[in-house]
This record gives sequence, structure tokens and C-alpha cells, in this order.
Amino acid sequence: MDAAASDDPDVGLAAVVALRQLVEVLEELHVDRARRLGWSWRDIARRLGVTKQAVHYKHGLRIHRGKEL
Amino acid sequence: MWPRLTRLLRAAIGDDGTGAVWPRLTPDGRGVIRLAFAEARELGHPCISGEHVLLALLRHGSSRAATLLEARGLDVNVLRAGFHRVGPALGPGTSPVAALRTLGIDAEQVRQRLEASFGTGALRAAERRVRRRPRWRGGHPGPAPLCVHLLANRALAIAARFAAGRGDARIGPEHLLYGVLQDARDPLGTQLSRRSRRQLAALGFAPGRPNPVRLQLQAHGIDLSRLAADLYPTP
Repeated sequence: MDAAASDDPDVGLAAVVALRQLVEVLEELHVDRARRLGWSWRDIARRLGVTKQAVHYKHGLRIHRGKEL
Repeated sequence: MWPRLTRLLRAAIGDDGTGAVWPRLTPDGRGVIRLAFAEARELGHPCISGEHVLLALLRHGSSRAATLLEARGLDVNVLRAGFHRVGPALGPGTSPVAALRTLGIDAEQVRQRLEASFGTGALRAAERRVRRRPRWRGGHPGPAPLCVHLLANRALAIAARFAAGRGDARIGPEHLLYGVLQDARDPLGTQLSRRSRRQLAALGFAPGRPNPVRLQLQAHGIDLSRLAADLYPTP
């Protein structure tokens, strides 16, 4: 990692996109886990700092395979 | 009518139909695809494309497709070096893993930790869901650091169609080779939607460039359509 590389907008903007994807995957994993442990959507939403409608909109509609999440 | 409807439905939910190919592969075919992923990982590419499948076919060895390729004087190491020289399909664009490294985040380490605490299956399912989440539900298009992009999609689809057309129940290495050869006849990004082309460009590919598999095979003096015809010689 050198300083010149991180100054470069090309690399920097690519890093932003990659980081955003990483955050999305993390959110997905943790929301999934919380639901498996029986958390309510309201509790999840409060921890994420959004409304429960927003969490429903983003994570709610899922095709559950067999097991109830 | 049904295939068209299925395609439309799949396009609407963002499914590329690749998942339907995996169960149809023979054990040998699965071995080839696994090796293709290994090849991409070793080369440090964030995607698997036709050339990785070709290298994997040669590495896997025990199939008629590999024998055909070897009979024409192709060698894994020579071919791999050739892909570096011709310029792999990947252009100068930055890979997401490299971009994260400039921030001090090691994507490989993140992946290992997440796999340790959540399990491989859960992580893969989460990646998949995030990648396929539509824009209107908070999805962001763009190269993801934790996954390997499948650019050999069209080759796989051609292989599947070819196997079905021949009446073979499963897709083997020969069908995969046929798919790669047929796909390589057209420039990169053929039959892709505008959005997919944009994603291709974000990964550092230049849509419209000649396929590196074709360049490489022609450099070895191999005619693509004749090789494809030799796979299943008509009596």
C-alpha cells in the first residue's frame, strides 16, 4: 500500500464501492442471524437505526426454504 | 413461448439461470468448474471467464476434451503465460480486493473470519442475495469483494443447450469445451444487457474486445470451429 495509490480517485472510488458491498453482506448476515435467533423486526430496525418498515422493505420479502426464519 | 417467459421472469428477478446449470453437471464437469475457480483465485482475478475454464479443462486432464486440447500441443503453463501476454480479459481496471487493500482491509481475512463465525454456506447465500438484490430494494450494482464473478455465463448456457440438443442428460467437460469455443467466437460482452456491460466495464473488461481465448488459440494455430466439430465427429 503506497500513498500515491490511495490518492488516485480511480482506486479510491473503487474502494468505496467494494466497501459498500462488504457492508451489505455484513448487514445481510447479521439480520439473518438475528431473525434465526427470534429477534423481532422492530428490534433489528432499532439497532440498525432505521424504521421497521425500511427493514421489511429491504430484508422482509424472502423465499424461505422449508425452515421458518 | 415458455423459454421466453422464463427468460423474462428471470431477468425481472435478476437470476441469470446459472444455478440451474450446476445440478446438471457430471462429476467431471463439476471438477472442471471447481478448478476454474481455483485458477481464478491463484491468478488473483475477481471473476471466472472462458480462459479459466479452458485452463481448468487442461488441468483436470482425464477427459476427451483435455486429450483433444493436448493433442494440439496446448500446455497449461504455456497457455497461462500466454493469457498474461495477450492481456487476460481483465483490463487495467482495479479489482475490488486490491482497492480494499489500499484501505488496509484484507478481503480474504474478512472472508475467513465470517466463514468461521457464520459458516461457508451462510456467507455464500448472503453474498448471493446482496448481489441479486434489485436496485429498488437497496441493491447497489458493482463489483463485490467477497465473491467471484461468473463471466463464463454464456459459455455455460451454450454448453447446457448443446448437451440438451444432443440428448445428453448431464453436462460433461466436452460440452463445457464446446461452450467456451462457441462463446469465444464472438467478442466479449456479446448478448449482454446494458447493465451487465456496465458491470463488465467496472470489473476492468472492455466489452467489444476480441475474446482472449480466441486470440490465444489462434496464436497456437487452432481453428475454433474445427476443434468444436472434432469434439463430436459426425460419422
